Amino acid sequence: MGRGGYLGEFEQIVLLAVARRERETYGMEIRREIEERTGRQVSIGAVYATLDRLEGKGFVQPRHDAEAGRARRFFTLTPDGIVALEASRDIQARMWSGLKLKGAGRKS
Amino acid sequence: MTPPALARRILRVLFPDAHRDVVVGDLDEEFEGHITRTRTPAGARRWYWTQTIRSIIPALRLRVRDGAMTVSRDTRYAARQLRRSPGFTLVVTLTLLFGVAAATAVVSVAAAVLLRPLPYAEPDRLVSIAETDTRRTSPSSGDLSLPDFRDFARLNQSFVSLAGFSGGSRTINLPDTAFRVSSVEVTEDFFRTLGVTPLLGRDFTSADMPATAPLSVILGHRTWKLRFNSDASMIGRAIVLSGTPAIVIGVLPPSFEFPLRGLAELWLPLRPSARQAASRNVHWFETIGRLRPGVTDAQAQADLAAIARGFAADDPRAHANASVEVTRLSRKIVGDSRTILLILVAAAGCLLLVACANLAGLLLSRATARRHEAGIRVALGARRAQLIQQSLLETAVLITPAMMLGLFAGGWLVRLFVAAMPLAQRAALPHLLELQVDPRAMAISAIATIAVALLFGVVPALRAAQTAGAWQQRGVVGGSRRDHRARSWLVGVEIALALILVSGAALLIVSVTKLMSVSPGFNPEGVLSFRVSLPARYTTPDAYRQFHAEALAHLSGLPAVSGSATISQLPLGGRGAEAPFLIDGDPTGVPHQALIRTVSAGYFDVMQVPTQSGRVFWPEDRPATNRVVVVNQQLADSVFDGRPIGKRIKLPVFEGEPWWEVVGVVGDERFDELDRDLRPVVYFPYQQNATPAFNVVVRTAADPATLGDSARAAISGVDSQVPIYLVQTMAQIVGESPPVFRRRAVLALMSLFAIAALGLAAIGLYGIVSQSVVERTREIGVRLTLGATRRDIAAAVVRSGLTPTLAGAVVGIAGSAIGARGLQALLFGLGAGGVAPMIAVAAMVLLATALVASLVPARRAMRVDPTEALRAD
Repeated sequence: MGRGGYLGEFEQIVLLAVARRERETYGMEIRREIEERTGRQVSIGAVYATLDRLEGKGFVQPRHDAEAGRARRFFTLTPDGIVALEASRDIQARMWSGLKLKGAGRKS
Repeated sequence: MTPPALARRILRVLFPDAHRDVVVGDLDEEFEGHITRTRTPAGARRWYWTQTIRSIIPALRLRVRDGAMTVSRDTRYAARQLRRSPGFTLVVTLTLLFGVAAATAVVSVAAAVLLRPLPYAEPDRLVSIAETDTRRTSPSSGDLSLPDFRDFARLNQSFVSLAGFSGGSRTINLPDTAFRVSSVEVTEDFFRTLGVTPLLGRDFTSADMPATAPLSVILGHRTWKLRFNSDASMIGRAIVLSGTPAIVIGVLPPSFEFPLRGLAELWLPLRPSARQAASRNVHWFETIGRLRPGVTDAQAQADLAAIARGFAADDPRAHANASVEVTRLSRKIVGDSRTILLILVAAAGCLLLVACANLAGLLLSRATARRHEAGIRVALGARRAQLIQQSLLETAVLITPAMMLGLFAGGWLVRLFVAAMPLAQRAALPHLLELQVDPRAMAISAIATIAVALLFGVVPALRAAQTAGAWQQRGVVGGSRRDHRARSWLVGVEIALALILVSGAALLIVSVTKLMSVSPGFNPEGVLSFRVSLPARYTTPDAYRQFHAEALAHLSGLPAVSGSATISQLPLGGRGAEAPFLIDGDPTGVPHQALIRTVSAGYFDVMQVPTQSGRVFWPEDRPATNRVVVVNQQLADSVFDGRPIGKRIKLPVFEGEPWWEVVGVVGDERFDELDRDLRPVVYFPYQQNATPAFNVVVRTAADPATLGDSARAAISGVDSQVPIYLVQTMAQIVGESPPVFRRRAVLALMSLFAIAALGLAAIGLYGIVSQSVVERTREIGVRLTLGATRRDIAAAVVRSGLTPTLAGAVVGIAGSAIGARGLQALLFGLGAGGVAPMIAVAAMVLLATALVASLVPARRAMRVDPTEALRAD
């Protein structure tokens, strides 16, 4: 895996949100994507703080753009980011493999 | 419809620069979308607020990350800057190293001696009690007699307890060897008065005191550890002390020390002889006391003085004017060293100030040089806070390692300082045997440095940030001129302080030289001395005389030894034994006072003390022959008008008070310290006044320091249970005598500080002169073109350093005059007119240094090429 190490849950979610947009994307879109898909309230601050961390780990690539009349920062997934996401999925898959949970099942 | 303004403002404040616009922009965009979609402005506003509040913590998290990154980036930048100017970094480091190390070390030593409480319970209530005679002009020893002590102890209202002690030495006899150690005899309550309990075993009780009881001994901790391997089973065991068995009853705690008898290893009960017990007139031991709570020194003194007045009724002859002096024990222990330590603290303080001024000048010059850079950064949008943070970091990166180095060097200097002190002198002051660097001393040096660094490292940056808007205009020039003036002031201060230190060193050099040239009255070169004490087995004067004769015969037979002799107390060993004597046929009957010494027949030859008239002792002066004495020139002149031969004297200290005839006069030997006045001395022949302890002096053609082993062998060849101790060359005794040693120690440190201060002042001066050359390159070019000679230019450059130098020198001369008064206690042989010339010499040294420091940049100015200079910019 890249220099980032293991991905936290929210990091994973933000990274997936970036990955789902096929072109480069920015904070507001990512926030909306997560809210719509998970139904969880997400603050813009949390999104940017996480993106900043992911940028530090080299999983997303930022691009500053001031042309649209205001400052915007666009993000794309880097190859390291893709590797990290796949590694997280593999780890989860391996842990889930063949596992049946008893007792209280999933609600909803 | 716009988003809530307050929420936006909060967001803008919270998020770091890099994120602020992006975050607010995104939220604003979504806010508009919200309104378009839901058409509920109130809901959109609520949503916006929720987003704001929930972003607070992530925003702060971002800030912390951001800050950490800036700090580490700025630190790297600062370190790179310093690597690019190694000269600057080196000078700052050396400056701090000198200042911090000196201050830390000296303040550590001074704090240990002057500030740390003595290692006793409630040391503030402990005092030293000296009995004085108000009629006598010369200071008396302050010792008490046993009847006096008992009366004080019985009648006083001021003390919880009184205790007496008397120093001595004992031989520890082991089966195959013996060695001599210092011992102290103490009264029953000694340790209880100090508030010290033995680590092992028990304290003395009244049962230990009578001469008929078995001898008990308490060991010092170091002695127990080093000589008896920390063996706990020593308690209750017997050891042999000077041939007498003694039971070890206790071991003192490791923290215990008693600087008034610093080298003491054994503590024994004080057992008076019959005469000492009965006579009010034999003053023979020192006294300490523990005050009752709330009693002042003055009250205690008045109390005891009233008791002392009562002694006159009992003994009107010797106690008519008896009085008492009560001194704080801490004060008594530290004594003269207090002045010396304060002098050293002042000197180290001067050096620290010079270092701080130098550091300030260096930082200012750097800030001036980088004003341009600061201006550019402001123009490029750097904020004030960033500039200040940057300069803070740079200053921290610059001074932290230097300061650490200084503190470390200070610790090293403390060890050096302590190691350089003779053990006896170290043991005579509290807390010096195991001295550590004092954290307070470190704090003082560190705080002074940090304060200066903040003031001169950061404040200029602050000002640069304020004026940076106008950096292209005249503001820069004005600012740099102001800085230049500030630096001139600083250099002036450095020069003044350096001059004070150089004057101090010069005065001490002269004092030490003069002191060393004071003739001790004998020739110390090539003489080894040591002391011998016969064990209790030798009981009669005949036995003493026989050992004495055999020992001298053995010693004189050693190869390269030209002669050996003995004396009761060595020259420069202090006043020692002193007694009143009466002259036969003197109608006034007034006793005269003299030092009394007992010497063997060859003493004056071995020590090369000249015979002035009459004869010295012969081997034929036997116990049965006519009793004879020799006196020194001082006594011959002051008492007998130079014609003492044939006169007879008697001394009440000798039983039966026989008459002694003066047969000769010898040159004046110094027994008291070198910086004191000569004293009258009466010498007695050993044959007629044999004692069981004496000092041996051996003259050799070889190096006397190598003679110790063969001398020890020669003495144990007479009796293997008689050790020799206090083995020293006479040259050592002269060189390490307290008045010489004190001045030498202060001189060594003062010279070190003076050289460092001089170097720093030179660096400071060089700095401002060379900066003025850089700033005036263009002007120099113009002048050269207009016909000025290079000589004129050099003179102008040197002049630019002249103002601070001269101003500093004037202040420094005044300061040196004041400093010389502070040094008074250490000055010797300079007289009233001797100080000013030495200050003048110091000022010359300083001016010469200043000239050299200015000439280097002046040479550079002379080489300026006018065409280049005019083309620049």
